[in-house]
Amino acid sequence: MQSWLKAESPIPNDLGLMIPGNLPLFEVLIVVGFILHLIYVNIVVAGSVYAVLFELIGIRKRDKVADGLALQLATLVSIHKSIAVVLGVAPLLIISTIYTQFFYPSTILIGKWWLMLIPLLIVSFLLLYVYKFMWDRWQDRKGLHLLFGISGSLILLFVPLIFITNVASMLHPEMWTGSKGFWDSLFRYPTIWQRYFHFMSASFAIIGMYMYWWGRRRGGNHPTPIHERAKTFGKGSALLFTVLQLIAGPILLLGMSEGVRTSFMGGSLFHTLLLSVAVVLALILIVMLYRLYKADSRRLFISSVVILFLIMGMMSWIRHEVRELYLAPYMQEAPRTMQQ
Amino acid sequence: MNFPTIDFGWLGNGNLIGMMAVLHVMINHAVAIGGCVLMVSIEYKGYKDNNPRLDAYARGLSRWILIITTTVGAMTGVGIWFTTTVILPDAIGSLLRIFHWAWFTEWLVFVSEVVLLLTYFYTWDKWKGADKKKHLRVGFALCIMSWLTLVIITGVLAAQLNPGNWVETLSFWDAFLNPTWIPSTIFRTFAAIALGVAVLHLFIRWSLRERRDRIIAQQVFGKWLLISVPIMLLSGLWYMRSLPDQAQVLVKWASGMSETWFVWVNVGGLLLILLLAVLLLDGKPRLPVMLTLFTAAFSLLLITEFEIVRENIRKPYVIYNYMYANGVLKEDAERYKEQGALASAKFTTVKTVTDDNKLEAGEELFRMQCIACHSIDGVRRSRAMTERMNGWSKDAIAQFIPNMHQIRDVMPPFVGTEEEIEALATYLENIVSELNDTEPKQKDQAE
Repeated sequence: MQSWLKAESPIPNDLGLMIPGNLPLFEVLIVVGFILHLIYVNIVVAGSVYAVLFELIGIRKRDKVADGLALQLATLVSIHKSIAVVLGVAPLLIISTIYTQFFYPSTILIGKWWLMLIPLLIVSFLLLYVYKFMWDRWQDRKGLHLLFGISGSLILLFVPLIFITNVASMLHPEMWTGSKGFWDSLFRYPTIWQRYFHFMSASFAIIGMYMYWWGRRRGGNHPTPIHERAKTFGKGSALLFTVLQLIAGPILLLGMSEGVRTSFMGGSLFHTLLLSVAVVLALILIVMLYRLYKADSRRLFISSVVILFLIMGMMSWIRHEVRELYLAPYMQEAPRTMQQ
Repeated sequence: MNFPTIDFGWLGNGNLIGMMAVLHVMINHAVAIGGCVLMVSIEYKGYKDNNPRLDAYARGLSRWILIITTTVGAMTGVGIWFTTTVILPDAIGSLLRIFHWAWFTEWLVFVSEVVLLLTYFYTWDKWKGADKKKHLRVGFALCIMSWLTLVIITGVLAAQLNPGNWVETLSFWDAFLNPTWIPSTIFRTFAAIALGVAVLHLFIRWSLRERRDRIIAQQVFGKWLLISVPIMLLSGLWYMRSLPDQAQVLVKWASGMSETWFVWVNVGGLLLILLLAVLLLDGKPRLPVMLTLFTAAFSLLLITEFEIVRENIRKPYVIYNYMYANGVLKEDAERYKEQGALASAKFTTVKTVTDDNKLEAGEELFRMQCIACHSIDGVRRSRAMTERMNGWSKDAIAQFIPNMHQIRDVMPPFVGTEEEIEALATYLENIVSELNDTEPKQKDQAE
């Protein structure tokens, strides 16, 4: 058992009923299901922020193109948020099933705010529906209209913190004793803010790619100024925030426990290799995005998207490995109830 | 016992699950299932009669159905899962293991439902003329998918009540294909349509201005309603007969009505809905508002009643014959009585009862074994300790606790040592008399 594990951690026994399936299958499903969910979440969170931003630019500079792009983003958010929610069900189902003895305590310990997710998301989605459906009718009431967009996206910016707190807390049973609900937990467990930074940065990179793709596809050979703006702004955002990931990633790694960190930095060949490949891919992506930023190219775009998806898949995998490393000693203490 | 406990205080832990469930069921039955079926029926009628105003009506409905189901509808569904996770982790955790692949399939159905709904809404203006058939097909598929979500989840809910052979075999199919599944699926399906008619009909005078169109739409509603009422009655009876014996007895008790009232209220209500069906079919442009309001209120009450009854009649279990309502496994009960509940618990500040920590130990025990249904004080008076234990002495409480499951069929047994019973009684007497601001009186007999 590793030294940083305190013996007194109150980990429940796993439930008596068997986990219904073999573990590797669940692991593949959770890694793939989670990243699918996350891509949509990235688009929704960053998309709502950019919608507000462009509407604001439209008002300030009397810029019709910015306002038009903002409406497109609001529509995009409204469609993708429904898919984001429903895609979240599968990973949550699997994490509840194969990490019951860790995930349930961490959920219950922030139980009241975990339930607050429901009203928060309902209100946010309704605000964003008003924001989208009243776009034309409230052209003369821009202040009021903007208020709906800002409140909706502020809620969306807050919501990931609840999820991140939960998944960070589940890795630290040794810190559960004495924890006092969500606000205390938000500043109690390591890596929460680093994860948030990493996630937000990914969101703005991905919405950038999405905007660029949207502009290309919808604009075709006769792009309108809105399509043009989506393309230039989109690839810029993708480039800038992918570069920022080179800062956000290492900061997160440095925030992890020593045992986990060293595994990824030479301690374990498998983990080090996994991370190295992801980092190399990220560097390649940056070069490609830079060239794309300089001049549009269909081939560059397609290969960037492929690499981006590869990186995201690997990040989801690495994220799973991090959890496994953290939980390994505890798993010996409270093993899963598996099929024979 | 295994997990941390949470106290929603005055609101009541059990109430919170109940409120979330009822809200979800109302919205999803009325809007996602009933509403979708009616919306697509109206679109089809408009297409066949070449009536653009009916088409526009259906299109208007689709926007509301999209907004409601993707916000309150979807999130309250997740909400049931979240509330049960924090309040009854053992129960939901076990259900997730038994029915994991049913839920996984349910998830695939959800994803299809959302994609179809988005497609249906956003292609309305695009798929016109020759493509209209394609649009109608999407609508039809949407109805099937919405309905399938109900079919799958009903298998899980029905199994909690009547797991059949599962308790012995622990086999997924034994649990899922339980005897109450089919009747309760049929009942819910047609209750959803009745509810959908009631809700849509409330707004029809504003959504369809033209008198002639309104008559046509009402006839579509009337047809659905005319089919639904008798099926609801029959499947309702079948459902009752399929329940375990003790649960059958509890049905009337759970609804809070006497037997005569129970029969009259339900049959009478259904007859009035049938009357609305006949009037709708008859082609009157304006119907008594009261009747529509009644149908809406009654269908909502019927579904709420169905939910409350369902939640109540499975007591003292949450998974019949396997796990008690407070999450304690039936097979663990004896062990906890010998070894002590506190000693077996992971998240507790107190491990053994001493003279100094009785109040604290009692509170921990209350949170572990009672709080799933009861609150100290609270809105639901019949479950609040300040109501139930008002004026009880510590000794009376301590005498009642070990026997309560024999006196009241719906109560699970208390699992713990003599000292733990004493601590729980001390805590309850203390907190109840403090909140009610009374000196505890001597009361010898429970009740």
